[in-house]
Amino acid sequence: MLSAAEMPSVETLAAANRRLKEWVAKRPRVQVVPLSKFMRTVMANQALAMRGFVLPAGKTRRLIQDDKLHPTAPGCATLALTILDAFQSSASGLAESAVYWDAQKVLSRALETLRQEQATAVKKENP
Amino acid sequence: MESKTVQQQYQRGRRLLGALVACSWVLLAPGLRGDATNELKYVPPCRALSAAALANHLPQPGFDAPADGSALDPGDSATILVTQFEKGGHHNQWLIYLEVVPPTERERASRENQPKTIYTTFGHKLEFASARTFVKVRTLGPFVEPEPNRHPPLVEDESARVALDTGFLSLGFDRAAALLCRVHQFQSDAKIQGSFGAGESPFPKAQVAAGRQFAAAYHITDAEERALAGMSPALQGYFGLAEETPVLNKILFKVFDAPSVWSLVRAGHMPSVAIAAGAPTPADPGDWRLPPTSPVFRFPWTIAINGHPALELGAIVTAPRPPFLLTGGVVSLLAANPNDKKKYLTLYVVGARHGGGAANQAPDSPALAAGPPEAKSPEESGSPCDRIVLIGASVTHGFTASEPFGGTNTAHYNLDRYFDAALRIPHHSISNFGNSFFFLQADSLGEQQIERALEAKPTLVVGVDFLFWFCYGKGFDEKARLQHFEKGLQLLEAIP
Repeated sequence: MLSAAEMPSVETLAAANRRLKEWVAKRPRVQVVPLSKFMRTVMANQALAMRGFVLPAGKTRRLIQDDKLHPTAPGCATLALTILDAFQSSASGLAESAVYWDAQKVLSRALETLRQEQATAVKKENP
Repeated sequence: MESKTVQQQYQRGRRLLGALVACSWVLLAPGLRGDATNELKYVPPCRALSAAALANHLPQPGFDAPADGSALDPGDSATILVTQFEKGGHHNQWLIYLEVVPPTERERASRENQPKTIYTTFGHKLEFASARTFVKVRTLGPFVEPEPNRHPPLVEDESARVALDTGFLSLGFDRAAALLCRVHQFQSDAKIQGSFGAGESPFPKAQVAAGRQFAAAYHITDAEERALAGMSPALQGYFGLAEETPVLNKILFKVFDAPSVWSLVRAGHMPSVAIAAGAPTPADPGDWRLPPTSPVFRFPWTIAINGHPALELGAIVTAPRPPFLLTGGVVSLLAANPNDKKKYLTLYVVGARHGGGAANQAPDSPALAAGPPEAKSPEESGSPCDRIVLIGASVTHGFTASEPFGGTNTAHYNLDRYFDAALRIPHHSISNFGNSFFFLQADSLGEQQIERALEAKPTLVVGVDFLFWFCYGKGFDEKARLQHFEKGLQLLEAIP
């Protein structure tokens, strides 16, 4: 949780966002992902839709931890897809079929990999 | 004058700790159920402490896998976060860093400790060998969170060399805890009463007879008896660290409820000290960032002086295998004043590292918190996601408030895992250079991350929170925030 002293004013944030837009405009290879929209939707527990997959209203607040700053594990999956969505849409050359767009599937795959890594670590410890 | 008073307190504290370790005996008391660890309150390190750890190049927090054997090597280390709680909700924090060092000629030639002889109520005389390991102890603190009407204390940086009794520490508490769990369960089912005692002189015949009945009722083996009796020298080894560390000694005795003890010590009398062990319960290794197969127990003790409870202890213990041997396998300890629960302190081992290569290969080090080590495809696929590099702060690195220094659970939040899981196409391992401490030094860490990102020859760089601390954070007015933001953009210019 951030303290008030760590937060920029609304005007400063707006100025920084304007400057970012200006900076990006000169760099066609840079893509900005509008995180503020993502955060607003999630904090309001509103529905989130991406490429045909919908997380209904009432189910999105759990994407962010209680500190209102860091994503939970399902939130990490959704955030990664949000970034890949913006990147794929920007004529990046990344095929749409190159990504699993189902956040639930991405979460399961990530946790399974983690489980395997931890099991391998245990095996190394106790061969 | 101040330093003289502090010195006197330290000397008094040493004398009482000396008395404690000399007189201690352990009583198996399954009826004792108080468990201070249930109230264990974790306070994350304050920012000033984290900044000091970073500035002083202390090792990355986190644990290396425990090694076999009972020998520590030079360079093996443990980092302990000490938090002292006071009335009014204030707390002070210290960081204690222990590192094994080779002994000097003088240390090598100094007198060895004597083995410890323990008599038990089972009628046996057991001997425990002592072994010294020389350790450099560095203490940084006290640190406090800034408060409007409170002057921050002067932060001290003290270093000392001490001899830890790793012979005693290697006895640990985990095997005794495992036995006590069984006894406690058995007692609940069979309603068998009794106790185990250990001390420095033989017990009366009647007590030995009762003890043997107790041993038979609970099927306690010789090895288990040794594990129980070994708690006394293990505690001696553990308190030996407090005895030799002035800061720890001082704050431990602020918590102790022993006004009468002070008068006894001052008058030169040896107080009667007893340590009662309560009923341990198994704990989840994952909660303590330990490998899943580690034995972990919550273990309560009460220290009584002249028959009165003077200190309640709640420990989390694991096997004392290196590098955890440095603390006798104690992963955390809560010490509370039994008559004033607002006075307590917690000790958390936040780092335990091997001195060799392992210390430099911290599993949770931000630089290494990347995806699976094997590349999905060593071939260049030509995909824009072929070599993804992540840069930024805690969202990128992965963060959970329960593990501010990182740990097993933090691995669930490494953003690279989710990119890796989302891609259906072959790609190289994703490099995650994110750092949860980015907020402390955004400029220098940002520069380092960009350099590393360029070295990785990325096809895609993701900096989802890279610019965050160039706009947010303390110590900036609004104009300075925008100037700092510009600095962040300048750093990003280096990426073609």
